[in-house]
Amino acid sequence: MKRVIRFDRGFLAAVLLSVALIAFGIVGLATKGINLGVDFQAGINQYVQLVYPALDVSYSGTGNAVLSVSDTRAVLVFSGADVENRTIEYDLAASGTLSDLASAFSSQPGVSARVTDGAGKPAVTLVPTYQGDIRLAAAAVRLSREPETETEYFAGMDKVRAAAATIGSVSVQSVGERIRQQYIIRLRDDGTDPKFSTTSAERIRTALETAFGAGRVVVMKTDFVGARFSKDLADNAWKLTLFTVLAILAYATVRFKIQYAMGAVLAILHDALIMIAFIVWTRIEFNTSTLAAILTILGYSINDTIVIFDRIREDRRLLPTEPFHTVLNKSITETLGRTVITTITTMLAVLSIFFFTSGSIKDFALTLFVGMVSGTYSTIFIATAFVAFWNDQAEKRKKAQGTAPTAKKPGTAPVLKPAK
Amino acid sequence: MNKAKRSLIVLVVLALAALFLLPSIRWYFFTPKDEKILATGSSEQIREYAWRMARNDLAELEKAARAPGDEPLPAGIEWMADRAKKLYKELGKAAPSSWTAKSVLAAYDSRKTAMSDIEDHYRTRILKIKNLQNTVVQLGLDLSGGMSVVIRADLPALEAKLGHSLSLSEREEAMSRALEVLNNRIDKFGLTEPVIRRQGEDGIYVEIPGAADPERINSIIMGRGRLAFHIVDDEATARLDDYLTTNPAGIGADLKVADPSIVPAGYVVRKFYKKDKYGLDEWTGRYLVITEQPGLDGNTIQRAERTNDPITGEPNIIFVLDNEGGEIFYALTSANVGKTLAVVLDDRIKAGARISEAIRESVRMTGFSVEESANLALILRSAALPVELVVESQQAIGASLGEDSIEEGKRAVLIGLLAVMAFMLVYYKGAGINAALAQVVNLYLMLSILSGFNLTLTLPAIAGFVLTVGMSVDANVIIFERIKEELLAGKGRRAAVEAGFGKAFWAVMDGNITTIIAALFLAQLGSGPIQGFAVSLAIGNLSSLFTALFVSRLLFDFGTDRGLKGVSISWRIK
Repeated sequence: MKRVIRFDRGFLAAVLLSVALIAFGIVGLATKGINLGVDFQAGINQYVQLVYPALDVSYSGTGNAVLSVSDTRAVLVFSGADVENRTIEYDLAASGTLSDLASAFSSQPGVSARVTDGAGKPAVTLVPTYQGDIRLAAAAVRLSREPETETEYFAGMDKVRAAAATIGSVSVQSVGERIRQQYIIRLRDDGTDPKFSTTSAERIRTALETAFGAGRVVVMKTDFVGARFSKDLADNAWKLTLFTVLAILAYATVRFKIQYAMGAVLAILHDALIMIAFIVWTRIEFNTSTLAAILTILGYSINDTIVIFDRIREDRRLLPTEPFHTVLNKSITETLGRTVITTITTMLAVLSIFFFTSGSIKDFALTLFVGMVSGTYSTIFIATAFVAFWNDQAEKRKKAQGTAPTAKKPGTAPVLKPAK
Repeated sequence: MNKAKRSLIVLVVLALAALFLLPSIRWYFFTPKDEKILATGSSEQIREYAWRMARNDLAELEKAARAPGDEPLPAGIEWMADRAKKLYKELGKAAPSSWTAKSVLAAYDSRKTAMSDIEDHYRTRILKIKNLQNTVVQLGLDLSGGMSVVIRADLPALEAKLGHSLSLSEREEAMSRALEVLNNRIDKFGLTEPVIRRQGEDGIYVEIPGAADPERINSIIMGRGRLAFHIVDDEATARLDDYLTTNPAGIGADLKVADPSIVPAGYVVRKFYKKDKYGLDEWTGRYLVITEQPGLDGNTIQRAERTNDPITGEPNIIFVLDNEGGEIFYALTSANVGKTLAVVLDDRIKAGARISEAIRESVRMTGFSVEESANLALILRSAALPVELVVESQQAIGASLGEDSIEEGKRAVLIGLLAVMAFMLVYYKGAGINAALAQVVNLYLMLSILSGFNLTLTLPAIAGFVLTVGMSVDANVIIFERIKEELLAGKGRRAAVEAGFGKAFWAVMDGNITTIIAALFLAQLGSGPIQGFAVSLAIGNLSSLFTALFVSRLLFDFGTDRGLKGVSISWRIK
């Protein structure tokens, strides 16, 4: 038989550590505040890329001609009643220079492509059609390209910040490889401009174009959240967290006893607070993704706790005469293998999300990781500590009420069970 | 339950899952891109495609039929032979041995039936693909690229303008007008059909897949939609009809006619719409030539309602104009008696009615069906409730960013799965194979549920899957650890497996149920992406219950029946 680890010896230290960490988080929350994402803070996030104009493409034939460019391919699709339906794909890496690509486009009936700049540059420098598939028409649409070498680099944080500053207090963040000149521009909606939602995207673009020249700015992505929307979301988030906790509390009370349910809920609240402390101190953006991470941990951590409680219940039935602390230690020890292995497998999954995705999902994975560490720890030390504490108090009360009835049992005398 | 029965259940579930998954595989892997573009178009674009194809094909067929001798069917319309065969059979005529242009054309009694038959063919073909698309896993905007906008109707501003608070029915009417206006305008943009949904009391959710230009949304929501009355030029309309029959390509998407002699100066071409059975606008296939300038603006309407004619019982629409509007309408109608009056909302003709006499303020329109008149009355009534629209939130993601996300997601799922499987194989040896297999089945079931219930796959949903892969192994772990304990206690294979599954059952159930509770609450959180994550988490938990308690158990039992004595489950237990 495995040696039983005396987990209950660590309860006090664990509680102190947790209280300290949570207090640290609350201090941070009070002094530094939380870095609210665009979901919770009305405003606009505009993702832009600074580029060179490259090709002008137009279409004079019948039917629909749709062009889309991704990082690796350009695809031309003809469809409709008055044109032969067909799809032509160009592998950008194998398409040579931009002017080669332009003549390849132009070889299609009705399509005409003209190089406006950088004829000799490789076709892979073409910027993807971020705004979706382009429906070609008689009026030419412009495709852009990114700098090929460092000598063509013209952006830089300072310049972008200076350009964007002309429209108010904005924050600028660089994303992706430096040479690709991609930035997030964030402008808060302070509620003074009633036309904010309709004009801000254009204002940001115009400000950048004034600084870098027309045709030098491509918008990759825009997120705008209005004041009411963000408020609704924040309200919902509170309510949902509360209801989730209450629902779990109710279920655990039905399946176990009230002290177990409360211990479990205490443990998951602990995890949520630890994650918030982490978010506050690392300045990770608090958005719907991070909120989802917290709610996920509520569900995940409770799982761990329930498995241990289930074991305690079973062991108590098997060993009704053993003191509660002994049963507790035995149950935690018995389930320890499972707790560790499950944590490892889940962490493998979370790490694979962390390393292979980008953007807000990465933050999500990181927050989740912290929550899992906290979840495993709180399962072993916090949830059980609460149940042990409750039990100790109950026993004390029983003793105080009347020593005679409880002291009758002689079997409870030895406190320690000899370890094998 | 005996083993045969359990195996049968597992097989049925797997087969059902395959059935669910099939449409998605067909759509994403076996439908050519140009057909996808046609099928994702709005119903109007599909209608227009069929309209043009029919005119082209018929013109070709007639040309071949006019030629001396028996021309074979022109290339591209060979399918018409099958159709003709059916028609011959219905008529009781003997089918010719080989189909020629002449004999196919003879199957139709008139040009019109031929036209509508061909149109029908193309329409059903594209609609079939469209239906397929509606039954597959949908890609969320973060994966497909596109734009989602939450719009709010500014009802307080309307109340301030009207000077009184809106009644419940007025609110509803103002909202349906806002929806109508949005439907009108958004259909004109992009190549894919938008999603427009009422959200809460005064919100409207709009999703336009594929298009992601945030500045374009402004042109959609600016303004309140304009209702006006125009006079129809019936002669020019007839001329246009004739012209388009022979020159289907003679009119462009901008409704400009190639031959300038058809539409007189000061007149324009507009499409005529009817509501389909879902209450959505459907182009009737007709074009009308109307005056460029409206004869009367709709904002002079004070009220409008649908009544029944006291004598004939026919549905009527009665609307009342203000004094000024009445004067203008009188002048307009007296000058145009006998002509058609078109009701136009944002460049779309919604109804046409013949002017029988000069009319002042109180106008009665007849000759519509019950539904038509109800719709029309609503349109007219809501002209008095022009509501401003405000953007609440807006998200636009480029299609190519979406493609990158799909690649990232695929890699994360694959590597996450492989890492977990490798760990299980190393740690649990033989039983690890069991767990790994259960994970593959798990992923397969999750995808098929997603496809079968037509749910949306987003990047967070993919993250949910990866996470479930890691978490759902938990059920296997709990069971395996239990089996190990039983083996250590000296039990044999059959008894250890039996006891392991039995004792672990409630721990697995409790753990998963609490996680599902959390996931279901998470699914209520307003915005789309998190919902996707929560739903995939819940689905993953459900399917992992099945794989861990059912599939995995079955695999153990098969091993036992093959005569295995021990369990290969740990490095320490022989």
